[in-house]
Amino acid sequence: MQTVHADRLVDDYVKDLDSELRRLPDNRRREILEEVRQHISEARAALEAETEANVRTVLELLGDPAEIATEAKKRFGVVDKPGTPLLEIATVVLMIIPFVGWAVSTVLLWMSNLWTRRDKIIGTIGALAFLPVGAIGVASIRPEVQGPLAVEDAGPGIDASTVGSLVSDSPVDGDVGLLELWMIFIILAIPIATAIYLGMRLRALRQSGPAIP
Amino acid sequence: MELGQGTLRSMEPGKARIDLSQLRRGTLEYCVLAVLRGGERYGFELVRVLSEVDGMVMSEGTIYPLLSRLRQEKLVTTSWRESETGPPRRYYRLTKTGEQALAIFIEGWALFRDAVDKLLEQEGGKDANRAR
Repeated sequence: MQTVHADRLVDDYVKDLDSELRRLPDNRRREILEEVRQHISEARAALEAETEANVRTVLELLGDPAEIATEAKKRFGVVDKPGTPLLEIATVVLMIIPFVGWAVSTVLLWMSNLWTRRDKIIGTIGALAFLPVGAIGVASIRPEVQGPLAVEDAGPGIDASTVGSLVSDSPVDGDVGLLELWMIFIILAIPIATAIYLGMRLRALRQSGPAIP
Repeated sequence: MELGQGTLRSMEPGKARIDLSQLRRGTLEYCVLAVLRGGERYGFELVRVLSEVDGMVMSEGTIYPLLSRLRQEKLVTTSWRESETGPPRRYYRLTKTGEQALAIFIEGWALFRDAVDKLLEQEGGKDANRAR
């Protein structure tokens, strides 16, 4: 009767340890489990009397399964991952979606407690880069914007053909198209680069543990 | 003796324990290697030897992850031996790499220990003077 009870204590202990060690590589987990099991049977064999209390003492000396597992994780550099960082992944993904994505991404970025303050500032600049770049763009595209406006403002004195020839003869016309393309490219590329940066930082921070503020 | 106690008392008791456990953890692997210098041992035996030294091992079970790690690092090697009683045992033996690592540690430890002792004695002396 006593032995049956003791066996159950040991079984429960080993089961607990097995489950606590689940994050460890399989071969390491098996090895540790095997050795602990062996230790228990050696210790039990050395007991004067195999009472429940004595077996309990053997297990107490071994220590809490969670403590052994914590030690194992530390020794093998296994990090307890705090789950998938959904907020951070959403931030990175939204960062590549123009306008609405950029805005939402910026808000999420500041809600995260994984990235450092510096990352957040860089991320914000990247997400909102379209504002200054766009403003510069609008300012340089102005001649073209003014073109059609000029037609309306031209009044009855100048006929359409004159205006048309003015616009098409304008030497800046072709350059403006190219410039516009460049602006769009830059506006789209900066957030993508920012998203890549944030993604890389996320990976690095998760490997080295939580950020120290 | 008096001086040492004086220094300890000025520290938070909880904190002192944490610091010691980290110190213990960092040096335990070399203590294992040092025990194996005397010849191969099986796990239970090794744990017994280490536990006999006061304050060295808090939870016996934590030795096994360490042994597994030492094996992975090839500082120790293992082999199975039949035992007269019960199932075969896994014996741990020091490797050449393990011996080298231990030799380097012994040298470093002597310097480290002397440096700490020197500082502790200086601090203790100051405390005693202030108390007077």
